[in-house]
Amino acid sequence: VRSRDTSKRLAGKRVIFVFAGEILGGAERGALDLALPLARVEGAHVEIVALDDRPGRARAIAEAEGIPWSSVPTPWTGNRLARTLALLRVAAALRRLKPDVLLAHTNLPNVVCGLIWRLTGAKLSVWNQWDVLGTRRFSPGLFRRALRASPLVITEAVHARDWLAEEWGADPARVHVIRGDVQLSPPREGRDAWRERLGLRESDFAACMLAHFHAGKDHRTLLHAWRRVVDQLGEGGPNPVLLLAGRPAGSENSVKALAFDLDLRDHVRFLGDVDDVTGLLTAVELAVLSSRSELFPRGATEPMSAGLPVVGTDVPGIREAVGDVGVPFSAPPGDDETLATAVVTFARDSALRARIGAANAELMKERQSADVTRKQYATLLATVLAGPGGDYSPAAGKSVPR
Amino acid sequence: VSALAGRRVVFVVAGEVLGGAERNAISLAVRFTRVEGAEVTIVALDDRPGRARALAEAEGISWTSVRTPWVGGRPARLLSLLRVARSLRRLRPDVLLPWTNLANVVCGLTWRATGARLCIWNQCDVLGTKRFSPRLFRRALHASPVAVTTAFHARDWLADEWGFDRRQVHVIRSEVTLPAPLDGGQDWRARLEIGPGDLVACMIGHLHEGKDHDMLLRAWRLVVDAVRLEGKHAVLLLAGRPAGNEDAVKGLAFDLDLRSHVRFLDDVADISGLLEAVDLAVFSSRSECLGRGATEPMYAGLAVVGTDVPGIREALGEHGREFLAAPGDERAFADAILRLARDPGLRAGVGKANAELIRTRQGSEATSGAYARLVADGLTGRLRDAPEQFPAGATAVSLVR
Repeated sequence: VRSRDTSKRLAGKRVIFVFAGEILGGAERGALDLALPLARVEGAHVEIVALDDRPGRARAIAEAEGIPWSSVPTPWTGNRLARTLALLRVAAALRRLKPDVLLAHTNLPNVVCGLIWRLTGAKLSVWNQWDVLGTRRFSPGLFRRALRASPLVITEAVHARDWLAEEWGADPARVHVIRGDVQLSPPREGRDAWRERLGLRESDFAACMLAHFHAGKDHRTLLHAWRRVVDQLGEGGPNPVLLLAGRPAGSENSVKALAFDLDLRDHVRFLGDVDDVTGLLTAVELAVLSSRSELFPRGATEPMSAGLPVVGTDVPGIREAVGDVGVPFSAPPGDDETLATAVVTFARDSALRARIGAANAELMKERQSADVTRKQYATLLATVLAGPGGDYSPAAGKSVPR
Repeated sequence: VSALAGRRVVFVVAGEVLGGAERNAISLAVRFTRVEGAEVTIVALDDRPGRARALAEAEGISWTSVRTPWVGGRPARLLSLLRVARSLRRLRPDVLLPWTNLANVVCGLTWRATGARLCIWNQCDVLGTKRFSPRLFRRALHASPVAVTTAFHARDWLADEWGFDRRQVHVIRSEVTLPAPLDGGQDWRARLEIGPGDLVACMIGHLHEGKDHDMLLRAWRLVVDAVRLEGKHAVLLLAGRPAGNEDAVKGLAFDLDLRSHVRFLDDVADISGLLEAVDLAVFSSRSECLGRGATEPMYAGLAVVGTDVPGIREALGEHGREFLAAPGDERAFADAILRLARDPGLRAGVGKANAELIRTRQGSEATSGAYARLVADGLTGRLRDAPEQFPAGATAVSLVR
C-alpha cells in the first residue's frame, strides 16, 4: 500500500509492522486498524512481517486490505546460539525491506526488534506494549535490555506506562500513551438473524464476552456469576443467555467442564472465533469482560463503541477502559457475587442499559476516534524521524494526561 | 509347605496411585503372604499419596517409599538408581517383582546389585514409553531374566517390538475378585438419583488419554436419543480419577448436552456396589493389556460393550466379541449397547457367561497360584520356557507346571 502524496506526514516512509504471527488477537487487530490509515492517509509504505507462519485470520484481513505480508519464522527455541542466529535471520529479512520505521507489536516482536533494529537500517523502532503480564519466554534481563534499546515505546493505557516504568525501569519520558482506534466494521447480519441462528427468543436477555480462551481471562468467575444470574432471574425474569466468543487458546476445556458442572447448558453458548463481531454486538443487551489482567481491552471498548453497557472485573485496564461511567458496574477480581449483581441490575432495567450504553458510545467517540489515533501516531513518528539524529521530543510523552 | 514360605518377595510399584497394575500387584502380594507364607514388602518409587498404600496396609502388607523421580541429567538418574538399589538391598530380597514401566526399568537395571536371585518384569500395558529412551527400555528388559504379562498380544508385543525372547515371557492372567459391596445397588441408584426404569451403564477407567471417553460419549448421545423414543432415560456413570483428560471429557459432555445423562463419579472405592447398580458395563479405550475395566464387570456378571482393541478382545473372550466396536465407530458401539439394553435376557445370559469365564480363567489358582509356582521355579533354577500357544480351555497352571 503506497501513497505518492508528499504533503502527508509519512509520505514515502517505509513502515514495517512486526507481528508475532497470523493469529488475530486484540493487539493484531489494533495494529491493523493503524496500518491502513498510516498508508492511505499519511502516505506511508506499509508492510507486515510476522515471526510465525502458522495460518490465522490476521493475514487474510491484511491482504484483503492490500497490505503486503511476509513471514520469517522465529520460534525462539534452542540454545543461545540458535536464538542469536534467529535474530540475525530476522535482521537480514527486515533489512531487505529497507525500513524507515519498525513498529513491533507484542512481546516477541518487541524484544526481537529492540535487540536488532539498528542492524536493519531503520531510523526508528517502536516498542508497542500490549499487556501488563510480563514475560516467561524471555529472561527479565533480556526483556529489560530490549526495552531500553528501543527508542520509543507506545502503549494504550496510562497504567501500562506506569507498569513499564516501575516494573521494567523504562524512562517514562519515552513511553507515549496513545489510545487505539476502535473501528467496528458494518454487521454482516443484523440482530434478528443472529438471534434466530442462536435460538434466542426476543424476551431472552443475552450478554456476550469477547475474549479468547486463555489463562489470562477469567471465564471461571464469569460462569459462577452466570449461575447466580440464572438463579436470581428465576422463573419470572428474562431467560439469561451468555454468549462466549473467542478462539480456543488453552482454557476452553476447563471452562466448558465448569459450565457442565454448573448445569449451564441452556444458558451458555460457546461461539468460537467470531468474524462478525459487530453483528453479534447488535444481538445482545450487555457485554461482560471478566479478566485477570488487561491493558486497554477491546473486549470492553468494542462493545462500548457499539453502545452497549459493560460489566467487568475491576482491574486497572478495564477500569481505565470503561471510565467513570462504567466503574460502578465492575466487580473485584474473583467476586462472582458482585459480578452477578451488576448483570442482574442491567437485566432488570432496560432504561439503565440504554443510558449507560449511550454514555459509553459517546465516550468512545470522544476518546478513540480513528482520526485522533492516526494523527497522534503519525505526528509522533514524523517528529522523531525529522529530529536530529533520530531523537524525539520527550514532551510527546504527555499524549494522554494522567 | 509352599516353596515360597519364608522367602522375601519385594513388589516394586511406581507410586501410591491405584490403577489396574497396582491392584493386580496388591492382589498377588496378599496371596503370597497368606497362602504361600512369603515375607512380602511393597516398595513405591514415589510417595505422593494414593489409595494403593491404604489398600495394601489394610491387608497387612508393609509399604515403604524410595523417591525416584527420574528427572535431571544422567548423573542424577544414576544416583537415583544407586539409592533404589541400596534401599532394596537392605530388604535382602529373594525376588523382585516390579510393575509398570518405571519400576520395571529401574529393577531391570539394578536387580543384580540388590542381592535378589530373581527379578520378574511385569508388563502391564502395550504403550511403550516416552519417559525412557527405547534403548534404555530395551536394555533393562533384556537384563531381566523373565517377564510376565497378562495377555498374549502383550507377549507378542514384547517379542516383536522389543526383541525379547518370547520363551521368557509367561502369560499369567491377573486374578480378579471383588470385595463385598459397601452399599447395595439400590442404595447406589438412590444416591445417584437414578430412576428404577432407567438404563444405567458404567465405565471404570481413569480419565486419561489412553482411554477413549470421547468416543463413548458420542455413542452415549446416540443411545440417549434412541431410548428416549422408547420412553426410557439413560444414565452413564464414569468412575475414575481425573488424570489429565477430565476437562476435555466434561467439555464434550457439555457440547453433547449430556448433563442429565452422564455422571462423573471420580475414584470409586466401592466398585462392587457400583457394579450392582448398573445394567451393563462399557469400556472404551485406545489400548489395553487385559483391562480390569472389562474383567471386573465380567466377574460381577455384567455384559460388557468394548472397543475392539487386542486387550479388550482378549479380555472378553469368544462370546463377548459380538459386543465389540471398532475404534472410533460410535454408531457400532451404540448399537451394541442398545442391543443389550433392549434384551434383558441377552444381558443376563452374556453376564452369566462372563462371570463363568472370569472364574475359570482368572480364579486364584489359575493366576496367583501359577505366578507363585513360576517364582518358585525361578528361585530353584527350574524355570521353563513359556509355552508357545495357550490352548483353549487350558489354564496357566497346567502350562507353567
